[in-house]
Amino acid sequence: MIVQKTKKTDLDHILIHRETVLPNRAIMLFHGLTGSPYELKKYAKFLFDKGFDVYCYCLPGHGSHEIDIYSVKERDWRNFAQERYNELRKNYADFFVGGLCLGAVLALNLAEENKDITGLICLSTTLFLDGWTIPWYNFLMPIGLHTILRYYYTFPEREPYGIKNEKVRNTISRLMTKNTVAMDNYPLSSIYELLLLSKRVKRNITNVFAPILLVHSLEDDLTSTKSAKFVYNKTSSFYREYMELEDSYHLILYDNEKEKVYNKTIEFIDALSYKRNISLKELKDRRKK
Amino acid sequence: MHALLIILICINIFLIISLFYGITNIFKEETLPKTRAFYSVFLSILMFLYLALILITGIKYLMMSKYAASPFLFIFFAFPFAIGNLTSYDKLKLFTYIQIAIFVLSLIYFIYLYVKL
Repeated sequence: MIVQKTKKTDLDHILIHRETVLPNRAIMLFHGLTGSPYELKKYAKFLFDKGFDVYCYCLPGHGSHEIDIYSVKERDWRNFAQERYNELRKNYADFFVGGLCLGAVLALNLAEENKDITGLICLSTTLFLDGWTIPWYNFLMPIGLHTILRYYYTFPEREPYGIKNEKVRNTISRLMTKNTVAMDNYPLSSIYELLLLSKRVKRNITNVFAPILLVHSLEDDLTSTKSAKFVYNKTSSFYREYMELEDSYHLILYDNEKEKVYNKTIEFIDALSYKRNISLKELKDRRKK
Repeated sequence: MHALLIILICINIFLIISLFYGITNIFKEETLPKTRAFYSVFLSILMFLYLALILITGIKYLMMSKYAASPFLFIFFAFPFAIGNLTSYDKLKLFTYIQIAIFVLSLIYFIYLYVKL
């Protein structure tokens, strides 16, 4: 087993769990906006234990210097994801892509442009910013997004940090002060880029043919279930699963129902393998006939 | 109308000062996140008031059948959006100065309108 952590700064690291003898399947995970691969650490370990090679990369604009997030464009994220995908895809028979928040949107974008993705795992997909912590004056956001304010407006990270579980929230809060897991504030320009990417994904959503698992919390503080339902209803995937959580906020991989997410992921992958075997068998039978 | 123009002039002055402060201080590493957050809220409120008051003044001038003033007001309304859409982080300094220059022009114009009233 190779566990590679290339550490440049506290935030910037690549988390790779890889068997020395390559298994047949791998998963590439993307973290959320202003997050880091740290937020996927336990999930990645879990998937590795289930026989996957797991790749979690730090997205452009994240991890290095705080100011980098100001200059990052959504096309940087897209290109980065595509390059990593091209590098890794050829090594595996089955290749899954997934992510949390922005990571889920990025995974969807990748699936729109690559038809050979085995499966998609979208957690807390953020296509619409309409969660319960979004203030009522959100309708004024275009004034910020389309003026110079985009670079001057910053959001400080504050409670509940997307987490319902108080114990975990306190831990995150402590880590935030040390600035080791995520940025303590983020500019409006990053939201602007996320919204641009979301717009692009929404426009091409019917081009997603890969089987998809969507997990979203009913109490998501950042984005309501509208995003997940939109994806569920509009994709062209032959196999779709959607699970709603009742006791979590946005960061579902760290919240009260994380076990459910973990187990559902494996359930989805197993169900997918079963369905594929059945359809392969049917295909062979038809050929024989 | 006098009151409206005075408020617009004041907001304009605040906007110019705030943007100067922003370009010189806000991206410094020692600036605290809280200061950045307060600054963002303050600047947003000013910008919102500026745009809203320009619209109101423009409409009022139209209602008063003073058609010559309104087009300039609507141009000043549109400029922040045009500049915003052209701005990138690499050229932020340049575009901030352009925005400040536009605010200075609009300030002169509001003073002119006030004197002319």
